[in-house]
Amino acid sequence: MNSEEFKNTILPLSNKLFAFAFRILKRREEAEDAIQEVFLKLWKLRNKLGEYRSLEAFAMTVTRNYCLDKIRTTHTVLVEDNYYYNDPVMVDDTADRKLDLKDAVSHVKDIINNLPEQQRMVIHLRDIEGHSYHEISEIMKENVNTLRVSVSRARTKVREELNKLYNNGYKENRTSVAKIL
Amino acid sequence: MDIKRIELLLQRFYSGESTIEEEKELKDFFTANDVPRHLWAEQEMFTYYNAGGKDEMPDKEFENKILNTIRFTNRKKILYMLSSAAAVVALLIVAYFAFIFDTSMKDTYDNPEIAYMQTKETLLFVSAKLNEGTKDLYAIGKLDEATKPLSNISKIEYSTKSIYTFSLFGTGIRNLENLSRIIYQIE
Repeated sequence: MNSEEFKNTILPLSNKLFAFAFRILKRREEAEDAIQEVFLKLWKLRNKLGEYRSLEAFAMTVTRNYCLDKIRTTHTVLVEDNYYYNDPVMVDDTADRKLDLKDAVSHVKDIINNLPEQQRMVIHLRDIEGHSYHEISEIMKENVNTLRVSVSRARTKVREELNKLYNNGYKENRTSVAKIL
Repeated sequence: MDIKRIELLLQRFYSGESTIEEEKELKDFFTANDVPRHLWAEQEMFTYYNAGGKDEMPDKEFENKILNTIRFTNRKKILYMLSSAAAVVALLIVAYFAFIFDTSMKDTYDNPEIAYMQTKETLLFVSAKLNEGTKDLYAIGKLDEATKPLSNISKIEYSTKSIYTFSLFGTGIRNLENLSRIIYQIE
């Protein structure tokens, strides 16, 4: 693969790889550094890239391995840049909910970031990127049944946490309205 | 859309059995419709999934940054190779000259007497030239003359000594005070 081909086929993956690294490392800066390193690796491997069935899956695997290595070697507890997790959701019956949701910073992101690594990666690849289980199993080096169990656990946890926030927010809103009246 | 069907799809979704198409159906439903309150949490979730994590994109310049990193390391590699080649060449040149120039001493005179005389003459010539150079340095001795007037400053000390005698008056007066106190007590 020459540099022109590399530019046309591998470089456009950068956004996707970045999003994946960001999901694992939780910090923008670290994710950017990681992807730079990943691309250097891919660049060095450019003459062998033709051998892989799916370049995207391969690039995702390299990203996953690099990020997990980074977490293991630095032993740092990663805290994401912005953290809204504990804010209760203010439920307002009158507002335009669809518009609200579009503008609001989603709680879902924070909830996902609090999941264990494996579940975080699976939910990212499946529910956000929309990969098939087959592709995910290639990226994660994990069998499909294990992945399905992971996905199921992660989704259930997200719902549970979100419902907690919504119930709290609804109660809080009720009490504040009652106070005003 | 039938809410019953949505509930069924959700069930499959949470157990990890739903297909990509079914998940697409859920995303579409929740972003396009108003939903009952008990599904609001799900609505936020699917809205987020549908956006594809758009708030987590790198800067626009990210691709260029990556290209620069690759170019930079390439250039570094070339530079590294070039510098090691240059080092090898330099080493060879030094070795070559070291080989050609034999630096060991050779006798240029046959008679040691003449050689001694010649050396002596040369050294004398050098020392004469050195002395010529030091002549100009005599002027530095004149610096002393300038500092002579400054010695008068030390005379200031004499005057301050006289001032000191004035301070002795103070002790005298204190003694007088004591005397007066004694007289007072006697009285």
